[in-house]
Amino acid sequence: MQDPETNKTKSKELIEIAKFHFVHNEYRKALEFYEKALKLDPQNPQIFYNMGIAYESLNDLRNAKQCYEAALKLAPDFEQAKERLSKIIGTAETG
Amino acid sequence: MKRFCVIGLGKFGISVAKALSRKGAEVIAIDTDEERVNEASNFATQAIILDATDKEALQRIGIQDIDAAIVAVGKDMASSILITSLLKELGVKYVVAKALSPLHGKVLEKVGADRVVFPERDMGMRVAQSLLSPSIFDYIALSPQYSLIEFVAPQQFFGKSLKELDLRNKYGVMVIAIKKKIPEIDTTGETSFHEDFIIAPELDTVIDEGDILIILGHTKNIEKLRRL
Repeated sequence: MQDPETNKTKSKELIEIAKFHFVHNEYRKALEFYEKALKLDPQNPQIFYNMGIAYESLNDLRNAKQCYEAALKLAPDFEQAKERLSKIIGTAETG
Repeated sequence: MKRFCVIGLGKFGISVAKALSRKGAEVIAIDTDEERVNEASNFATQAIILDATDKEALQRIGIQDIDAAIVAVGKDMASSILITSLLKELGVKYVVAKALSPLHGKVLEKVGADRVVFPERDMGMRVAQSLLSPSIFDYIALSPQYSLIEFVAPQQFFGKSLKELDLRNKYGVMVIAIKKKIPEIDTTGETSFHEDFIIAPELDTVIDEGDILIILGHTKNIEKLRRL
């Protein structure tokens, strides 16, 4: 078992790889790396938020919603996550 | 600025009034129920307890000077018909009336409603459609035969151009627009995206995973697409 700090550093690297895939429209690949990052740093709201964005990009609003909710559970003041979540709920109501 | 009057502050009336206020319009909200009027007073320009079947009362508040009235009276069909007729008689230029049934809608048209809406029926159809097919985000029936849908591009479409897909010949539908998500990294270093809306896309436009197609076609043909 690695110490938490090493895990966090590794997780950050994985997040960067995930983001690289994300900006190249490879959302599923991005999600794979976010999942790996999450295993090393499960309390990181940023990972959940970025996963939400990737799911939204795939039009998977159900999973996106769950990710934003998970991000907000860990960080209740996460403004971007709040904003995305309210947009999704709005879509669900009108659509 | 446009001036509107919403009569009947149930769920439908309140949401119409709220949406109009949010867009910066002047809104007069009317109901006979004090509690509902109080709720509307939080956002409406004026919220008045008034019986809209009373012609003189309507005249007193200057109803003839508004741009459009929305008759959103709930379950009382007789009142909704009477109010619609009074508004037209008093010279209101544009009256939108909510109907509960097709017959109610016909009568509203007869007494002068410029537009009749069936919010329950329309929303019901949209919800049913979205439940039947999660890949359809939105659905508008243009007529009994033709629909306009927001359709999540299925896997078979990925990496293919509109020319290759040839939806017009294969399915008899037309792609009138495509919503594409453009991934980006925002100023805080988090991922984000914005949506590009391509109207009347060229035939060489390639469909990617995550795209939403706005499709117009015969409802029967749209059904075929839905099964993909």
